[in-house]
Amino acid sequence: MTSSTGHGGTNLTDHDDFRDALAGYVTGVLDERLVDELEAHLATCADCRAELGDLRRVVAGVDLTMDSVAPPGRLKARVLAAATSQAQASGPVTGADAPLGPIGPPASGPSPARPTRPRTWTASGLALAASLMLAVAASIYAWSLRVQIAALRQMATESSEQAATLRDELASARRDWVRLSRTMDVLRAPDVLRVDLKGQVGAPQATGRAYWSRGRGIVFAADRLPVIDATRVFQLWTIKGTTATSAGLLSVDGNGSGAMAVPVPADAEPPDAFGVTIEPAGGSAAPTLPIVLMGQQSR
Amino acid sequence: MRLQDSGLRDANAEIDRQLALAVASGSAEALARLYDRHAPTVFALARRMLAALDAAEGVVQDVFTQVWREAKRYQPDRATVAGWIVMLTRARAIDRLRALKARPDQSTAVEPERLAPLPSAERSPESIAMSSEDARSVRAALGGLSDEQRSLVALAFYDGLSHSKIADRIGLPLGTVKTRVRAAIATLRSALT
Repeated sequence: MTSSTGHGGTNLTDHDDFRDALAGYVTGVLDERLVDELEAHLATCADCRAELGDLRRVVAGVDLTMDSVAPPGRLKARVLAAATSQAQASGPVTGADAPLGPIGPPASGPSPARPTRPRTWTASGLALAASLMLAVAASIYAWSLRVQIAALRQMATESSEQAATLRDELASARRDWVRLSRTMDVLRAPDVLRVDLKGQVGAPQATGRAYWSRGRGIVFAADRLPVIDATRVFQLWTIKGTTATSAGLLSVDGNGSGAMAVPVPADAEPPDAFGVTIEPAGGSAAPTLPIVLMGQQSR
Repeated sequence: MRLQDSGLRDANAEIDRQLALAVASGSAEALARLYDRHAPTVFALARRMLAALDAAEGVVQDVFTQVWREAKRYQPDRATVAGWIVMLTRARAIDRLRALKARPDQSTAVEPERLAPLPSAERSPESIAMSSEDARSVRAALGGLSDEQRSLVALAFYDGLSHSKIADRIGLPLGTVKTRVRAAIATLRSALT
């Protein structure tokens, strides 16, 4: 049974002893004599080898949680010079000497430095080196493309959100442009009529101006209209004889100013007058009081 | 613009892998980049395991020399480059510990109380991005351990103490220490499955 006395005692005698010793083996605290015994056991026990692999992952995982500490700046040049003065290993290996088995049989000395032999290049060696460099370059290029794709995907996600905003702004701009072009059409029309409107009782300071053109439309603007609550609206009317026809609702800003442009049928008769009334929200089919602006066409 | 964290982690692992390939083909510049990316972790771990500054610097040199020598043998399917490098670090630090034990006149006895404690689950996003999947899982599991369990792991993993020495130091029976260390390791290991 257990006789290892916490990695430091006598011998390892059964499977449980060996298994308990694995953690000490991985962390380097197992007694030297027991290392040999454990390694002999590992050579024959697949369970312990599997457990050893798990333990290495645990220890490496814990090691990676260390907060990093910048080494002295002078160290880098020394380390790189020492490292690159060494010959490189030639290729993959398996077994205990594999690079991912470094914690197993410990190196005999404190440094991995080993005798070196001069590097000589043959034609085939140069060709191999060149093909390796090409392969590396291609891999790096492929990686950079993958990073760029990831970045572009992220940008695409953000761009689609921006695109939605831009679509809204574009739609708004188109509405503005239609309104402006309609206004210009009306103002440049050869048959354009201009009617100035004056404030009526209750809104004497209000002013307005209407332009009318058959087939092109009405452009109307008003200023200093009175403040009304949200349950009521300003409505523009064209008046021919005794008949008032709605020309639409007028949106007004906080200063009492508003403007609108609306189409007029091609067969419409020129109105005699324009008027603005205050109506319930949604407007009325026929004007009601009070009238806030009124203007007659001067012939 | 900011990439998703997972994308950043993948990109970092891929950068490491490409650098290791370039080192394998003889690129000293790639080794210098790997040094810039991982030397702070190597140095921190070496200092944690070896109190002596010069010994820790020696481990840094040993590790990057081994990376240079054995880059062709690195097997990406078995560990990330970061994981490979910390495994090399621990192995070379153990080498140094053994060498120092064999020369007691150059004692560098570890004094845990003046060393940094085992980190908790908290870390900066940058360092998390540099870590492997295993490290993130283990970090989360570490956060779930009790303070006593974390102390035991620190004593066993970093302070070079055998179970019997841990038992002496904290005044618990050896059997209890073994049971608790085993339980802590089992908890950490279960995070990897």
